Amino acid sequence: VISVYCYAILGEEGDQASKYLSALELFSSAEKLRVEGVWVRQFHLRPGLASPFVFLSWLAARTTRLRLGTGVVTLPLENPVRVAEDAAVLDALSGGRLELGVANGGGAPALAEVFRGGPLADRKAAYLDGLAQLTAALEGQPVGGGFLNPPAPGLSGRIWEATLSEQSGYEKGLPAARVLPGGEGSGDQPALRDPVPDHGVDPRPAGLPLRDAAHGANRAVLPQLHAPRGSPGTVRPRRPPRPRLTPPRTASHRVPIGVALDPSGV
Amino acid sequence: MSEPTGAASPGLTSDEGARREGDASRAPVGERMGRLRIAIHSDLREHGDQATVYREMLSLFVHAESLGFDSGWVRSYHFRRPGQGFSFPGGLPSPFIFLGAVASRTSRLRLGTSVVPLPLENVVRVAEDAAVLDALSGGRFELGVSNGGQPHVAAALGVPLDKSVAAQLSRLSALVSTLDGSPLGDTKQELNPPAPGLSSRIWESALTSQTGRDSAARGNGVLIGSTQTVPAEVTALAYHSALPHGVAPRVGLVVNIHVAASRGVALDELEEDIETVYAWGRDWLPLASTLEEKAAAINVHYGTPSDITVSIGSFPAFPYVTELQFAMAYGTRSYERRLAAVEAIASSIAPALGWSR
Repeated sequence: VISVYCYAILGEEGDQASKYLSALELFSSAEKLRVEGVWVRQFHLRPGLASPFVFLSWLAARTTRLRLGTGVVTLPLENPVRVAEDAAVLDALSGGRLELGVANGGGAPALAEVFRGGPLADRKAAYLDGLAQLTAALEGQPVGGGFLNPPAPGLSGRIWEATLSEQSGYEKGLPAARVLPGGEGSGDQPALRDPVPDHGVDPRPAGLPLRDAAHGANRAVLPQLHAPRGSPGTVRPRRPPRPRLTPPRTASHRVPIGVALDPSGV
Repeated sequence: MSEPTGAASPGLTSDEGARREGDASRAPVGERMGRLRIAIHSDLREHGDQATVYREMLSLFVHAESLGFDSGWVRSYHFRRPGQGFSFPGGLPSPFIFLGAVASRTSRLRLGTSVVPLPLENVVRVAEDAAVLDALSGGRFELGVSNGGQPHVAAALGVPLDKSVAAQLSRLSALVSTLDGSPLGDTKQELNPPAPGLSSRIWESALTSQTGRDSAARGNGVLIGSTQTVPAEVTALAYHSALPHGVAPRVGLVVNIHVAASRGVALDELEEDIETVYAWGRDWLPLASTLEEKAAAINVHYGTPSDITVSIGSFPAFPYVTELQFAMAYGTRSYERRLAAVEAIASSIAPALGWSR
């Protein structure tokens, strides 16, 4: 099954408010055109969208069916429990339409200083710890002498992870149920290859951007293709993609959620 | 409750006295205040399915705008804690996300956080959420913050809880400079999207005359809650007396209301909530023994719309208020009752208190 999504970087200079609002109007219209969902990227302290959850909550209130994706939230720069709360509130307001994409990363040490109060000694460890906290909170494990509120049933099964290298893709692909490459290939990234050894978790949707359409993505709908691995629908990008997004290893991910494959079936 | 000390606030009309006698029908707001504003206020701390709670409150906010309400404010509250009495039913941990949805469905209503506890948050992330919300709402956001936060929440969020005055001053100063576009840390980068004017729309939660004075000196507004360690009018008067010349006062007061056929019926419906809240704050709330006294101690106004008008109009802090923030947190449970209550506010209670659309 092939689904069409929109993807917006919103990274241009210029009046940010009107850029956001025109993208939101476009996305609202996209739902009427049977587009399945949208993904928006997070950027800090530069042209772009600092708060994807706030942006998507605006869209949630204007739409009824559109899947709402963060592609992606840079987890090491965030408080993972606060991400869980923001995600849970958006999921509740949207009737369970959130697709929660997260990434390692964080850019310059100065950004970590601003957002986390100091450099991240081991960014990968920080990322994995954050992902574990996020997942645990979403799955209703105890936090703060109680539990995440609102509850977010099923949302941990809608986490997507970005991967930037073949190795991390392989690691995260182990339990993977789906992949969502997106964004800009730098040319020195390894070519897209199947990161998943034979663990018997097919089918696994893959989201591949039509890279050349990505320029000015807030002005143009950027289709993404979701297809099971190895199916005739799989599209290989012309340039190496990044990031790749795969869910973390939890039991719930072994069940194909189906939202990316067939949103109408959920 | 003690009367406010010091000189009477300049510009208050002689009708203040009338209000204190309970004659709300003769109570236009003092000239200095400018137009009285009204808001809907919710902590969304409800039993039941939280998604339904959020969506119903969203509808109520949209309806409030159509009735002429000036603003809508939501509180932030973290984690659901079974067996914690007053704290039990959950709430809204992410006010910016909820208000993003309200922004989408409204065009005029001002949108406020009441409040974001700064010690629990990264100030720059708060500024980002605020700036995006302000951009999406066409500049309608009002940023309420506090020096609050409970230890168990801070522990869960992995943040050191420092509520010293110095730490809060540092956070407030960082918030203002971030919103004003100063380069952040060593990044040489600034907040995006820009948030022009938003730093002049900061409100601080104020519990004492000292915090009232300090907020005024910073030119910020104050938000006075329904449960206070000192009488609300003491805080409000301190705010007015310390406000720099030329700065328009912004005093928001939360008033809990419960509309019913009579005061007796209302009290019956309120009893459980009043007892629960009073028990929660027994150590520092004004001494009260009867249900009526306890209702007064937590600022609940109840009965017919006319009863409620008189009750709010005679509330000692009312003359100092620029924005009445109506909450229906106690007693009023169903969506239909809340809808009827906001209609009563807009059609009779608020106009009798001096509000006009």
